[in-house]
Amino acid sequence: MRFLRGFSVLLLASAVLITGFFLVGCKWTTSTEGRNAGKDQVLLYAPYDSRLVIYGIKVKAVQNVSAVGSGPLYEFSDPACRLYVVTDEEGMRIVSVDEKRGKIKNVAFFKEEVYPLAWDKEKNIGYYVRCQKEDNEVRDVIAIDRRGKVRVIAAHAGMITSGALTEDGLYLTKYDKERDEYRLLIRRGKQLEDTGRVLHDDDLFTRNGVLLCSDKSSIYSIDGTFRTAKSDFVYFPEGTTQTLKMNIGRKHLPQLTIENDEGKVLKKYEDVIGFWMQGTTVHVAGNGYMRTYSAGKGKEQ
Amino acid sequence: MGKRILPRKMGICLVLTIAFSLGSVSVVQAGIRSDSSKLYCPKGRLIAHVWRGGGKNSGNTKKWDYQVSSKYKGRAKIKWIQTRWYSAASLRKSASISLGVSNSSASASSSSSWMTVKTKTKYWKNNNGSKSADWRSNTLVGPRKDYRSNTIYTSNTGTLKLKGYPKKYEISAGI
Repeated sequence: MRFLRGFSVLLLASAVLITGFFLVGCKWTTSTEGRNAGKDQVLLYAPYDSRLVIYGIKVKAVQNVSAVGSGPLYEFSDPACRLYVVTDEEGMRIVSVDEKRGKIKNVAFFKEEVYPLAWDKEKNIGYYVRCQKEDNEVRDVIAIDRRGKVRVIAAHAGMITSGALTEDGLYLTKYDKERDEYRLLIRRGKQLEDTGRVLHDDDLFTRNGVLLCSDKSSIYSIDGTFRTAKSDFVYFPEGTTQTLKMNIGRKHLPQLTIENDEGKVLKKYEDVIGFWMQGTTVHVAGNGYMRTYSAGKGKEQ
Repeated sequence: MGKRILPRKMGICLVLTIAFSLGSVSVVQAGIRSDSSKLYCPKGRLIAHVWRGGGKNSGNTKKWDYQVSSKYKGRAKIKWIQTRWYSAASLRKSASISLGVSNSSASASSSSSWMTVKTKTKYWKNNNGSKSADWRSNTLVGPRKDYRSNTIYTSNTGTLKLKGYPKKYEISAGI
């Protein structure tokens, strides 16, 4: 009798707890959707923090962190692309930033690790490397359109690490860990072909449709017509011959440098949080200031 | 033989409790703090560390030495490693806090209410294959009468990218 009474009390307590969870709407897993930008605010990617921040245009300062996801974000190398890969507790999400509305929209969700490779601006298709959960050295190359539809480009392609979409096609780098070097691959039809070129670093870029490779200290075209010194973050705005570089300045704060095609510094901005592009116009978001620079005209507006 | 005042076990516990409390008090008085966090990643681990010395009064200011570091211990090759840090404290009446590095300071409003004020975040990045990124300086608040005691804290986030792996490994430590 005593046992039955005790068991009944335990059963009742459990029922109350379970009901309480449902009523409160408690989720066993969390998904941080992120804060959107409000009036006079923009969603800005801060590359040294790997985060989307909410930047106040009138106050010229960060007003909040968007807090989308639970870890660092990943960006495409094209500065005009507003697609990002977000780390979540359950997996990884691809999000797009609607600049006009200041909102973050979900595009696709993966339980595996997914990282950006290259972006096709005209078709709005992103190319990504998807790593297997059991072994993240087993990777596929996938394409995702704006609706989130996934297409496998190459399965079990090896240790793919980066990519660039050029007039010739999609280039990829594949890491050879035995030799500590990268092989340059190109996608032809449904196959990935080894170009025979060995690289000592895997950063790839597209400059007006032309592939740029990199080594430890520089970024260069294969035909030798272009070379520039490497920096922490390097961007090549389409339709211009200028280069945007970010690195840490002497005051341990990020700085943005704009160079012409001969490497001459045209403009330098200190204490920069990030920037965004509108066509060939660069909007520089600094701590306490904002500047607009026309990369097409080569001067500040 | 006289009667025991306390049972033996209770007496031992009491002695140990007093000894531990005295030890804890001495650490608090010295004010030295450190914290480390580690994150396992391919072939090793990323460790974020922050150390801050005891506060010293200097005229109208109070300052603490600090050191922040991010280190990779392991066999994989590094693409880059970064450390980013800031300090914060509860201040009032336009008091300010800085990191000992130029262009880092921040100030409270002119209000007499306490508010948390955070310095600018500072960065250091190594992309030359080095397995660590670190910085040492001091944090300063002033005037110290407008600094609320025991509210100083320093946060350090280490981020690491390894060759062959697209993932950014990130871990934070704070005191």
